[in-house]
This record gives sequence, C-alpha cells and structure tokens, in this order.
Amino acid sequence: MEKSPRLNFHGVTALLVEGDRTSVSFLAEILRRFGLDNQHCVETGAEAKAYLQRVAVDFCFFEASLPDMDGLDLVRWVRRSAPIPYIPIVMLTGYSRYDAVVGARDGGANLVVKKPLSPQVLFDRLAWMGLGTRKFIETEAYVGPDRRFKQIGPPDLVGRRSTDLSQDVGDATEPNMSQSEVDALMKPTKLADL
Amino acid sequence: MSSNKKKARIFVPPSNLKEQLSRPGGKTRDDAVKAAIAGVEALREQSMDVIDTAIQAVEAAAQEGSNGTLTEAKLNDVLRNADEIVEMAGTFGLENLDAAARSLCDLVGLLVKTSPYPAAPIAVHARALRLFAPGRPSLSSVEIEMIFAELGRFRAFFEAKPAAGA
Repeated sequence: MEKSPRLNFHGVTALLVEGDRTSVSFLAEILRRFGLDNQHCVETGAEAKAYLQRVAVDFCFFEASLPDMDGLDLVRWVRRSAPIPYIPIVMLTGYSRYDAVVGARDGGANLVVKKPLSPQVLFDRLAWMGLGTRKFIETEAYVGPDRRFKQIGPPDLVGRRSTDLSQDVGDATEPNMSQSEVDALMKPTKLADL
Repeated sequence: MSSNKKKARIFVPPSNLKEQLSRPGGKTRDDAVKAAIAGVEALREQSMDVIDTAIQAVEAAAQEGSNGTLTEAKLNDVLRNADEIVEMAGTFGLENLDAAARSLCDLVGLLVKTSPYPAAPIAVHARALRLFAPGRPSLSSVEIEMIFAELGRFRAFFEAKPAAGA
C-alpha cells in the first residue's frame, strides 16, 4: 500500500501572480487548506517583479496571461534577473492556452498546471517539486530546471515502475549544439534523397 | 559543430524547501486534499455568479457584432470568458457547461485563423451555455446530444475551412 505523503507548509512562503480575482481566490484557498498561510497575491507582472526584488519566497505561481505581460516573460525574468533565480515556479494556464503554454517549460518553469485546479493534482505536484532535488541548467539559451527527469520518477519512489532506471546525465562534455544543428538532426529526409 | 559556445552549467540549486516541507507536523495528502475540497466548495455560490456574468459577456459579444462579424478584440474577450467558464464549471463538476465552454474555446481557436470573424457560431454557443447554466431546468439526454452535435458541426465546418491568407 502506498504511503500518503505528509507536507508541512507552516512557514513556507508563496507568491501568487494572477490577474483574475476568482482564480486567485481558488488557488489561495486550496493552498491555505494545505497549511500554506504565508501567501502574497499580486495581479501584474510588474508588481511581481517589484515584490521578488525585495522578498525571498519559496514557491511562485504565475498565471500564463497577466494583464501587463505574458507569464512566460515573467518566468524568463526570474531565471535571468531576479535576486533568487532558482525559485520553483508553477505556471497556471486556462484550457485555451494550454498548448501554447506548454512552451513555458522552455522558459524555465518547473511545472505547468492546467485549470481548473484540482487539489489532488496540486498537492502531488507541490510534493514532487518540493521534495525532489531537480538540478538546474544554465546555458546561453536556457536557464531553468533540468527537463531530462522522466526516468528519475516522483519523490519517495511512489508510482515508479520497477523497470525505471535512475540516470544522472552529468555535466556536458561538449559545447551545446545550435538550434539549426538540432533541427538538422530531426529533419525528415525522403528515401529518394539518400 | 561550433566550439566557441558557453558550456552548460548543471548544479543543484540551494534551497531549504525540502527540509521545511519534511518537518514533523503538517498534513497528510488525504487530509490536505479533503480540507481543500471543502474550502473550494465554500466558494461555490460566488462562482455561480461568476459563471452567469461570463455567459452574459459571451451573449453580449455575440450580439454586438456589426454585420454579423466580430472584431479580434471581441473574439479574445469571448475566449477569456469561455476559459473562465471552463475553470468554474470544471471545478464544480458542471459537465455539460464545461463541455460547451470547451467547445467555444476550440471554436474561437479555429475562428481566429479565418477573417472576418463570424458572430453566428458564437451566438449559438452562447445559447448552449445559457441552457446548461446552473439553475436552469435539466435537459433530456436526447436534447443534450442534439446540442453538442450542433456545436460539433460548427467546429467541423471551421476546421475544414482554409485559414485566411492560405
């Protein structure tokens, strides 16, 4: 039988950046019931930047469409320019923008969660994000969590398959390939051209 | 392969979050989720008002169209409201309303590729949203099926339509 994880959110701080008051009230209520009382809510990206310049928080939740900027741009700002660039960031998105926002991972968000928010899903994602030790990658083109984590499985090994292998990819041994070099590897080629 | 590019730096970021979350006390997943569901349920009444306001906004946008067409700004308004309905309906298990609002989101996604933007399919979706709105009399399964078939027909039509400029 799987052990139900226990999380102590007392003293943990979160920044909620969401332009829609109803949405933020759902998120804030769910987090409060998890025990996360230290929340600060702002509506715009500019307010979020100002807050993060002054205060260190443990988690951030960014809505993908903010009134004054795209949530993706805010993620990129955190990863490149915020005093603490390694804050775990959960990107929240509505149904219609999900496909576009999946690109948020490329911007350096830790997770993308689609609304409507489910308390079960949110708890599991926070546990996975908070208890895991995901490495960070800094390159010219990308700053954010290592996205090569599929074989590592969730924290405490619950839900892992027995055949999963943990694989530490280690440091890069060669310079990064450019996007055009990667594209050339993926380019479909007609048999006749070979 | 070029060799003058910056080497990637891979490291474990400093954080005490794991220690904080793992301290004694706190809540188990089951307790936390149960409490959160109760907390969200307490927001049901105000959410029904939000749904009603969002449906009204979609209805108004559909009627405001001049010569039966909408501006891109209006279409984006419709999308924002439809997204809000999906969120609320999904949260409170209003399945038919949720499906109709998702259909509207998908439709708008198709409409933005065309030009001009017709108001008629939005108006039909607005009527469907109103029929599935909380507090409305429940419909028979045949009626529900018929409504969704009509909504699906709109989506299929615009899916097949070539994009503007194509």
